[in-house]
Amino acid sequence: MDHLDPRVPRGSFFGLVGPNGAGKTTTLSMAVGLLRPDGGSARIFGIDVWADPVAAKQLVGVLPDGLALPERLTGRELLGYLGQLRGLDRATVARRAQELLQVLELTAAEQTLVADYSAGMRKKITLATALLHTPRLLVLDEPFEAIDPVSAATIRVILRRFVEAGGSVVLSSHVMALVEQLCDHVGVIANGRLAAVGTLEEVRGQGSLEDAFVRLVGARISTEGLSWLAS
Amino acid sequence: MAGLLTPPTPVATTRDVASALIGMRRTLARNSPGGSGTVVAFRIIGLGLAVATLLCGLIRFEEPSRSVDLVAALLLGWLIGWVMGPILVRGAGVGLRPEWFALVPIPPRRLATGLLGASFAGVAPAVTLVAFAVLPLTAAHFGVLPVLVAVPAALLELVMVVLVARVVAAGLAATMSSRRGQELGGLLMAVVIALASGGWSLATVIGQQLAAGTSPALGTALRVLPSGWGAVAVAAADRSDWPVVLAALTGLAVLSVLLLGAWARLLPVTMRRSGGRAPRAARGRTAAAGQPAAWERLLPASPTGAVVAKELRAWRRDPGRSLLLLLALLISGLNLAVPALAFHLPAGLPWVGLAAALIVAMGAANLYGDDGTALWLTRMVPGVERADVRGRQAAWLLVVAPVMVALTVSLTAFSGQGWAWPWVLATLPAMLGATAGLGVLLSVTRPVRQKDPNRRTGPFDTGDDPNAAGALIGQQYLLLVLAALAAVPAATLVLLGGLRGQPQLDAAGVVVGVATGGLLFWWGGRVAARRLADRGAELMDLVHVGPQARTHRDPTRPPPAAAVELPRWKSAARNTLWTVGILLIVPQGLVPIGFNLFGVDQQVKVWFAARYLPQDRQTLAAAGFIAAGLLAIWWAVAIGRRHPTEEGTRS
Repeated sequence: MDHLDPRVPRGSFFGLVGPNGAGKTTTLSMAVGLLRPDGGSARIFGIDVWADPVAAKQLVGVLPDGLALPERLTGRELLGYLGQLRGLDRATVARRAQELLQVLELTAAEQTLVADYSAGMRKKITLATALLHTPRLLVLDEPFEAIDPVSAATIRVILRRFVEAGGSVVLSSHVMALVEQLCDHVGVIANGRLAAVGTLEEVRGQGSLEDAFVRLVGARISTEGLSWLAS
Repeated sequence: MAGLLTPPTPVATTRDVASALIGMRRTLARNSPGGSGTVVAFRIIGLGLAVATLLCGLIRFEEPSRSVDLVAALLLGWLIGWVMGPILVRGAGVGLRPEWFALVPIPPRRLATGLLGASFAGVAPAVTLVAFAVLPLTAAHFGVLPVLVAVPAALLELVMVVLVARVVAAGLAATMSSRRGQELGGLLMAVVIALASGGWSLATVIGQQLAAGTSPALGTALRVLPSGWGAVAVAAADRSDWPVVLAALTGLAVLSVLLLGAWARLLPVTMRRSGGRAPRAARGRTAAAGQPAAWERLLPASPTGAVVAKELRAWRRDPGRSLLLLLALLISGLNLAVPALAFHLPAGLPWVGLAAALIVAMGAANLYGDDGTALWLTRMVPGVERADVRGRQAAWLLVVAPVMVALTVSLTAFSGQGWAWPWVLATLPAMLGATAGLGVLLSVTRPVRQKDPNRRTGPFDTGDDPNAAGALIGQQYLLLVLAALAAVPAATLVLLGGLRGQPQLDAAGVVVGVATGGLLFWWGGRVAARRLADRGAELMDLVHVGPQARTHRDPTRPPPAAAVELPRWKSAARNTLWTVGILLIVPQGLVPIGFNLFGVDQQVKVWFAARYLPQDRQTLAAAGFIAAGLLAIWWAVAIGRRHPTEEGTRS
């Protein structure tokens, strides 16, 4: 990463967009303290993630993209394990786990191990682990990928309510329409650099976010070749 | 509508399919990446074995039936090798995988025939043919007509062997498509690995019986199996018993056709396997809403308790872990318990549990690497590093220690070897404590990246990176050696106690053993927890991206150089030297010395070269083999070290 400095205002819904391999996942991993940057720092509500990791990690809930979980637990067992690990009392964990599993529609898979979850179910149970300890900041890497439309709508509602209640959300996505619909702040990453950052209006200007994105990353849409396919 | 727009593609003929597949296989062999060193080493070893098999054909027996037994046994050995080979070197070979052709419109039988043709385009069938020439060579002792029978018999045996291997591989692949099938496949693989390491004891017993000619049932069994039919045909030709010759040869041909049919039926199942996994209910009672399981309530309601519970669940539900235990018991049993019982050596029995404890220690060498990127969860919960390390240690001991203690105590008692008690009581606790302590320490300091658990296709699927596989094996042996070394102080005291006849030294040995284990458990866990807290991000990098992590994750920098690859011949030489070294040290060195130490009957010779010498020179010869073996391994290590790029990535 090269001198990336996206500031996420408190109480905002921040979308990080960029082409595949631009460094969205790396940026988010560094911001929450999963990866150590070569230089520079990351702060969560003013707390340096590397200087005071314990305080910082209490404030944040993370949904990483494509990482493993303790695969041989069921969803409820995973939440129970995590709650106990975070020092929550058993009754609280059990109540919250029940609600999370119900809202995210995972109660039907009560006997299924995480190892046998579908991609969408994995996203949902990971989101539940991010929410379990009532964080103030949610950092979500591609939260809507592989999620069915009904669950996606549920998650959108959860996230909007979370922001209305004063929480902050940072999410990465390559679906422009989704970011445009949900986020009030946007950052565009290209080649490990921040090409643009600001409110949604500032970044997209007059056109759509997609137009602005294509302009910013300097892409060209290819229309030539494959003539035989349409013959 | 598509049919109107474009003419339908014609379906390929068997000839087209075969020639395309043979060409594809040749291209793959030419481009073969990474694991090719292993393959070349396998070929060199295979050729050596083939020549050895062929030379067996020169042995003349008094009774012709004995040479028939021998050839049948040799061919059975090759059949087993063909079945086991692909299971052991999965991913390293350059064979064609049927699932690549899932979407190509070729009828299964035609595809199977084509794949069979492609199978013969490799080196392995040629090497096997050299071995199977033992059949005509043996027949030459009998006369011209038996040789004329032996040539087609050898060719038919080759086709049959290749087909059996393909059908088994396809059957395995088909079962592997479900999680239960994966567990079954893993079980089979565990048995194969155990046989590869400890099958010598069974082979010795069988070879002994064959050489002595004491077991007619064994000879019958060898002839009844299809691998013996060629030998049966040759023997029948010698007797001019033509109906039997015809029956044996036709039998082989018919069996091959049937196998081809079975393969064709299995192929579509194999090719469907990417279609998702069958979800399965969790084994053991799952936590119901708000109700922890009864055993879970015995654990403290602390973060450490949570980790222990998670780990115990993994032991119960992850076949990889139970297979590890099974593998340790099988290897130890085949290498120690079987010879101890077969050659009447009760002194070997008390060590079975200790050996199993050392082997199972290998599974503790890469705990964080095995869990893959699931480490992120531990990383994101503040201040749980100590609980995570201690919980893993405790769970390891809770599962492994009772099994090993029970095994050791029961076998020591059963063997009636009273002198062994101080030895096992002193060394076992030291080994178990050292494994739990140094295992977590190694796992944190030198994690080896594995394929993420959710992407694995079976208990032994750890990824296709040969460098990671090598690093993991090194790590596992390191822990095995460390765990054994941890028992040295306690064992020394017991040894002194025995030499001086002072039982109080025995007691001191037991105390020291327990103390060593306890100390290493505590110290290893302490250092591991501190390191996990201080360098957790680097650990995350290592289990996620591997050793190239630092440069790789920055898209503005060029991608890292490809993983270290020794030139083909160097890699082959290294692997060959490793194999030769281990063969020289263990079966040719340590086993004969052990036999002499425990006074095994001098008639037991089989393939232990030293046993063919006069008794007073055997130990010297075996020591010479060990020295030669160590030299070979030192050389193998040196080949890897001296390669410049290898050092580049180590830094």
